Amino acid sequence: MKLHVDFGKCEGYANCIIAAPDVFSIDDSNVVIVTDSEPPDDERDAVEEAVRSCPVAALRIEED
Amino acid sequence: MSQHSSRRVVIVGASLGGLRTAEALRAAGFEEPITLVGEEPGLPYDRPPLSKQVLAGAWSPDDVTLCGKADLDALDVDQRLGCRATAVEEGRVILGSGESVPFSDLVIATGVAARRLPDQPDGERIHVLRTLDDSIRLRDHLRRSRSLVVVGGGFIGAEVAAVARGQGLDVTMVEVLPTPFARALGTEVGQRCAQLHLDHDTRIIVNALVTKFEESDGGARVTLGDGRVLEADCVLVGVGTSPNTRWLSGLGVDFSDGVPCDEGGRVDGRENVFAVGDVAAWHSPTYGHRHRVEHWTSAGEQARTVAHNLAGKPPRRNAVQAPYFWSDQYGTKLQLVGRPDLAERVRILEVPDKPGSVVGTFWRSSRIVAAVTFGAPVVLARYRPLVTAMASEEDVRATESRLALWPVR
Ligand SMILES: Cc1cc2nc3c(=O)[nH]c(=O)nc-3n(C[C@H](O)[C@H](O)[C@H](O)COP(=O)(O)OP(=O)(O)OC[C@H]3O[C@@H](n4cnc5c(N)ncnc54)[C@H](O)[C@@H]3O)c2cc1C
Ligand code: SF4
Repeated sequence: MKLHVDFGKCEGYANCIIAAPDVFSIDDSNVVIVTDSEPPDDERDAVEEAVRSCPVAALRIEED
Repeated sequence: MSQHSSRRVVIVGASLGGLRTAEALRAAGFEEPITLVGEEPGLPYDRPPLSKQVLAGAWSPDDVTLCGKADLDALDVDQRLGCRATAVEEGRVILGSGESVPFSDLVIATGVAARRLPDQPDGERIHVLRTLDDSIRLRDHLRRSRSLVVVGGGFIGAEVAAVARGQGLDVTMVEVLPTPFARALGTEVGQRCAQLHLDHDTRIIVNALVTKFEESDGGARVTLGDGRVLEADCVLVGVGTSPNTRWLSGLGVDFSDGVPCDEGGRVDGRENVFAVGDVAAWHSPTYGHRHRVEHWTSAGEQARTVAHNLAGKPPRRNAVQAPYFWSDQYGTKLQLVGRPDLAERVRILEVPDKPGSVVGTFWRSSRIVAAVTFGAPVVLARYRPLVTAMASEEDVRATESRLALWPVR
């Protein structure tokens, strides 16, 4: 599983961090940081929830 | 799927909850007919930006659509946008046009309406905020205004106040309780939130009941219970919501606070009727009672659960058990997980290296039932599993010392 972030869309809602704190963080200018762009499979549920909970649909999972 | 021969899912309410239900049904492989009925004529849109980016003029109305025309068409649902459901009878939904739409399964996603105060006029200067039209009207009016009175210290009023201050308006907030935001956040944290407003020169009047509204060409006047009169170019009333359930009286269920559902979204006593989103009061296994949650994330999660159950998969209950909510005020993100309303006591902690960032934790007996952060999303993320599990004081303190959070006295 590979994560794709559209940084142009990210509005810093931080919902993704709430869903998957081990995969996402946020920088001081309120843009998402991906701390693990190829998260392990046991993070899948959390990452899928993060993707769904982003209000501006800035996140996408690319299957390998 | 087609062992159920004459199925038709009718979804009433074509906003976040209704649209997400249709999308999730198709994603789950449900191939039977779906009808989506919605009172608003345009494409489904998202509400949180209505009191934030749209109101501030940073986003245009096109930026808030939840689903483009092509994507909506690709869902292959019978679209009835601009149609109001007026009643439900045995196996049929009646539309405003008189037409009746038969269903095998019904999903109620009609949301809530902004509450109005008694004798509140529907004029040019006195606004409520629930729809895109409301937001555009208020946006345009704020541009022409120098002063704003916000009636009600809740999140919508708070966000509108913040946007208006950002545009240099003179803003006064009026709250009937001794502390604004207390209903959602309790007194101590509510006071913190109020301070954010005071720091940005928003005036706050508490313990004040509005007794009269007047409008003229020159402005609006709001009279308070003690006789004081506030004058402003523009007034926003943000005093809560009421569930859109009037059309459901034919179901014979008690709708006094939303549509009562089990933990999988099925309406009490109805095999084939479900409800999602702001209108629905789902039973929560975590809290042991029913509760209506008016949060963006819950509507989407409930839609997924209901679609899963409707598509004939093994029964599932809602995955997200601790409600999650965010709000933007003066560039500070307030985030909340859990149920502050259940708390008996509150602790406030400071976030290191982030001046002004605080965490409020809410406790019932010795269990954590909610956490709220101001400007500290990474911290809130660490509280979320604790709140979902209603963790003990010991476990919470272990996390807090790892995050180096310090109690504020
Ligand atoms: C200004 C504003 C800001 C917000 N900000 C945030 C935020 O920052 N964070 C957060 O978590 N949540 C926020 N929310 C709440 C969030 O938008 C809601 O939780 C979400 O919209 C719920 O979706 P819903 O589909 O249940 O209801 P709604 O979005 O209310 O949709 C219900 C739809 O049903 C239609 N309808 C009603 N009655 C009928 C009928 N009889 N027949 C046909 N159609 C009908 C309505 O016209 C409407 O389109 C905000 C809400 C508002 C209004
Ligand atoms: S939820 Fe979306 S908008 Fe928010 S920080 Fe994450 S990617 Fe950015």
